[in-house]
Amino acid sequence: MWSYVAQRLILVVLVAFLVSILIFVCLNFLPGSPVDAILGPNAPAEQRQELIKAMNLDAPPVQRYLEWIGGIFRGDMGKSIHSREEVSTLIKQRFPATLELGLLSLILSLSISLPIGIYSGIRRGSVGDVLGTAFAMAAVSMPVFWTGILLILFFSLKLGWFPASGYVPFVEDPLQNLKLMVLPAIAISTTSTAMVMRQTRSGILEVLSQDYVRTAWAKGLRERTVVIRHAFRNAMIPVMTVLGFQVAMIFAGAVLVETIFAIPGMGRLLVDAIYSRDFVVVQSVALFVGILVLLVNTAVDVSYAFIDPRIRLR
Amino acid sequence: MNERAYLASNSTAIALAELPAPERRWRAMIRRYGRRRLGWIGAAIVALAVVLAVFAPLIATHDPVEADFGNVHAQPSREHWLGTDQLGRDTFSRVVYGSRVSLRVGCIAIVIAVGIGLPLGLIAGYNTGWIDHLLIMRVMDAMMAFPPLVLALVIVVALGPSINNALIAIGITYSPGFARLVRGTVLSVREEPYVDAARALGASTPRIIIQHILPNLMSPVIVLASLALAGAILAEAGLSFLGVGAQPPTPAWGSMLNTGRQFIETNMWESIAPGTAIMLVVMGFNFIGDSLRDALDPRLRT
Repeated sequence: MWSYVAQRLILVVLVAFLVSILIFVCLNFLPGSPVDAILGPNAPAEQRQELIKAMNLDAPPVQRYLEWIGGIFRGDMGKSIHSREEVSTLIKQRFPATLELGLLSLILSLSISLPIGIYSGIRRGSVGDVLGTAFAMAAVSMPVFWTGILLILFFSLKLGWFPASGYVPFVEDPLQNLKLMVLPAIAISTTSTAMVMRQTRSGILEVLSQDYVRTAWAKGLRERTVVIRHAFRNAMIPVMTVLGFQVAMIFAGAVLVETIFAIPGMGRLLVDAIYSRDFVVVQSVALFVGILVLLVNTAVDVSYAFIDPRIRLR
Repeated sequence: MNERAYLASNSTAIALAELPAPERRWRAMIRRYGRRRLGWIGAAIVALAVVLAVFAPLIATHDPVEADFGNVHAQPSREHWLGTDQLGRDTFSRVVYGSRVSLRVGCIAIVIAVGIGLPLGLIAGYNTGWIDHLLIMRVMDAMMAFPPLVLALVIVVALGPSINNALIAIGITYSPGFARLVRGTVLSVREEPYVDAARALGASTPRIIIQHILPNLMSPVIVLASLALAGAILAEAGLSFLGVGAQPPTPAWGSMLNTGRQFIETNMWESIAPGTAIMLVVMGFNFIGDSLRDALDPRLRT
């Protein structure tokens, strides 16, 4: 078991390293110079020289990469080209909003998808199953930003139940914060709810046809015991895989939803940095997100290796 | 039952049995697909979108980029079926032309994704050495560590925002999925007795790959491609929504939605129309993908 965990951790370090190279290569070696992108192609030579110096672009790429990574190990993620603020400070300011949004949508998604998914699996073909499946099929095809716009249209503009956009930190005004977060969290969670629901349904369906479940029925156990004690646990393994994947989905959703609902989170930080061609911020924020997703996925892998011995022995 | 009646009742089975094996497989597959209602609905939606894209100049009632400042934010009417936008451009015509952007970007991006992913997956699956393990698949892992939209954003910002760069970025973003799928399939097919037999007969590696391995890759790759197409169209809409995909005045559903949402209180049709269009086309490809998966590869059925 521990050798499996150690193996996974070594792999994380290796892949995290590759993630950083990937970002660096994308931003530095793809056609299109950052200087052109920031100043435009017709900027005076003097201004260009200044920027090249400021961004240290005349140094060899390997040296620049090592300086970037070395800085990150010392907790220095570089400074924004425009605001001159430390990227680490920016991330510290912006991360809480996105974390809250992510957790809220994860809770929302699980509390809807698991019960309905299990119900659909047990009562296959029932009205509830058909409705749930129809919802799931529509929801997977809904662009997050479209869901967000529809929610604003109906729940804030027509019904006036929630404010349309804005952000207040939870510590300042918890009630107002939740009011503002409900619609964005629903928007982000829709796709993930649909995916987890489908996976739970098919997991339950598959497990229910297994021999040990038939044995459990034959022993005369109550339906609730069969489903919860025997079927649910094993049906959860594929669901966990989908769940690990949701973290990436939620962040992608945050990029769009934070734009619509004007929430100053990580997604908004990345998009603003992209609009202003702030390569330093883009580079470090992308690395932060990549490593975060990597860590969560590894944690999921390791945790279900604890639950299911077949996985670590494979 | 006499022989003739037996033959008649089994005519399809016998007709199929007389066909060469691959053709029989395809026929059976088409039959299985035809039995799925959602497959038909998906095909109908996509066919409609293709018709809109191909015959856009005939179907559109107005020039999609011609402004009419005397008639901005018009409500739906007989003249403007879905109203007009902030520049007085006809929303219906823009939605019709928008199908061109979505379908083109979606299709080309997936061709790029398969073009990168398939060969890499083949190499990684066929030679299990350190090149496979450490290099190709770990780089793919690194690419998959990003939420697809974030990786596409990073690539687009490096290349410069434009619709062509967006489709390249989306193609690159979706390639690891294909590489993984192909590698997994190759790993299992490589161990099949008929591949060993071919090798024992002295078949060259390219011959084994083309004759024996590629045909096995067709169905999983087609299934993934149709599902990824839905994802690619969503990604293009997302990038255009953020303003780094299609540039004005090109009518693209994502960018129409972004401008439309600012005037949602004045005229909601400006956002409802493109939003519904994206949803329907994505749903169409999802339905096709799901039905293809069930028809081509019953083992993957969920």
